[in-house]
Amino acid sequence: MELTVEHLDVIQEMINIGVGNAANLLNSLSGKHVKLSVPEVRIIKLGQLLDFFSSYYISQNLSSVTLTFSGPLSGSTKLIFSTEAATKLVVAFTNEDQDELDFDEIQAETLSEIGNIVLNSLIGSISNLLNINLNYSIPLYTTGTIDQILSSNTVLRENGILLFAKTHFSIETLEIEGDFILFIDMSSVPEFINSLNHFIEIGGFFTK
Amino acid sequence: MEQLSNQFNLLDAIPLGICIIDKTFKIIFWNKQLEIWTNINSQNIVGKNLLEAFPHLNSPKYTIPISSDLYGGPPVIFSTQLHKNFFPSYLPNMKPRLLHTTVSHYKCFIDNETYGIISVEDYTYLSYRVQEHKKMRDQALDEIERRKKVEEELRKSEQQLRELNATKDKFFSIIAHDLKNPIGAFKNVLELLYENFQDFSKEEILEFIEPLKDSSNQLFALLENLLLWARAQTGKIQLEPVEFNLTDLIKSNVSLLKLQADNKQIDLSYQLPERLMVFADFNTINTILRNLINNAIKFTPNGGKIIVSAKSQDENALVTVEDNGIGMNEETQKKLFRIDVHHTTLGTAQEKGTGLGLILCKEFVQANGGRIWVESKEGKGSKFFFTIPLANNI
Repeated sequence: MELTVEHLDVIQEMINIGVGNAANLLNSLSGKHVKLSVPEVRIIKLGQLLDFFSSYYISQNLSSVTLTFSGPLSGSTKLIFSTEAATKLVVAFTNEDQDELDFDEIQAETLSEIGNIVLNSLIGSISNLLNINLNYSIPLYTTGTIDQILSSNTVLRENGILLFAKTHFSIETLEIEGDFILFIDMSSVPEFINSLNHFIEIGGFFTK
Repeated sequence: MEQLSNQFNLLDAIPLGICIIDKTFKIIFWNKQLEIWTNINSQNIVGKNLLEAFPHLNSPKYTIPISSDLYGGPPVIFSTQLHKNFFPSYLPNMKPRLLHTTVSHYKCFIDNETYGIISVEDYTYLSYRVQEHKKMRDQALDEIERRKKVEEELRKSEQQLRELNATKDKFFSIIAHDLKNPIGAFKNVLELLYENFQDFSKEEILEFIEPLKDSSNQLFALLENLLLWARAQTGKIQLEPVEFNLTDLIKSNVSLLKLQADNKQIDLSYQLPERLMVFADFNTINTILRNLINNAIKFTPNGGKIIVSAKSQDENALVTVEDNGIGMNEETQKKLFRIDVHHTTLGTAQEKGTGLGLILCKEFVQANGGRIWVESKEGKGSKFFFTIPLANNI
């Protein structure tokens, strides 16, 4: 079973709804106008993931927040930021002066909260719309090169569907980019596709 | 309630703050660690509504994500930087304790109900350590910066010492060779004349005296340069910039040195505007011109040609002394103007030199806010250039 273009369209729409919720939460958290967008979702083969990221994260130190889930669907979601983007994002929320190289544990903890809000909204939107109840782990913050970040999540080593999207944060005059990954474990792929088919059959977004 | 609370007693034994709420936000457990951190006794808070006990939490930024979690949604983080007071807690010095709060849900297997677990970690000491670490790093960076400065100062002072040493060497070398030898020759000729005066005819005596006259002129010029240079080294030359017409100064130098050029049948001429007002120290510019023209005469063979020209260029006057003499290779050009490299060449009529003249020129040009350089080709001739500032109101 494979994802079709129609499935991808549905997922893109679910993510857009999640992104809207995340932006509202981030607005009330920061008191600033936050706009979030995920312009395009695409499928990447697992074997090509490292090459794909390595091409633009050359030996950079990165920060990521990971949320793993299990239940009818198992897999994980990740948000990845360059240190520069992570710093900008935290500074936008805390209004504190921060130099780019100075990303410490306290800043990382703040990024965990912001990243978690985005991941919660995205995965929450998908599980709500597909009417699937998931069990979530506590969000995990990791730092390192892209290699270390991807390998820190064992789930990614196995087969499954991997969806990738660029996320774009606009916070007043600031523009910040991050990468969003949704990984669905191979064992859950039939359930995922069935749920998507069912969602489309019952009228999709029009019934919600 | 007590029975419900008792099932969580195990959570009193862990070093985290734990509060458990039900779906209506009612607090059903408050562990020992939270009692210590908040000074709120379990008995006084269990049974109360979380949002009534802590009214600041009654805001959408808390209620929406917590409710979402209580109804099966993902866990929520409240970080220390963005939520300084989730559960107000203070250190003995009354500074706020930095607490990191996570809310996740748990389905109780006894009553099959979903409860929210609010777990609280103390980040205060981590934050102190981070700040300490930053302070130490900043101090280390300051220290590195300070050492770099000291090293730079040492390097500069070493360079100054090297130049000072080269200056001293140059001074002794001039006294040892360039002054001693011609004065020695003077002494020998004068002794010969004194002891055998009666034996020489007037014509023969004139023959002896004539080269002495030329030599004494050169010696005098050398002494003059040496004294000027010695004064410059000891900082005794005070430049007094004034406005003057450079054309006049060049003309007077050319006419003074005309005789010397004529002796070698050199055509010494100038190409000058009628008026070229500069703002510089008159005496030092005079020395520069005299040295450069003297040098050109020295290194131009009989029948050669020297042109001294000047013009305004941007905010400077550009002076050129051009000859069609013996010129120099690139290696020799690099040695000019340098005190730390010994360099002299005999003139076309075996005129002696010390290399001091050009060093003096460079120092004086720079002191006047200008630049000096040379273009030369072996066998074709040399062109010396220097600039000095134009007067403002020309």
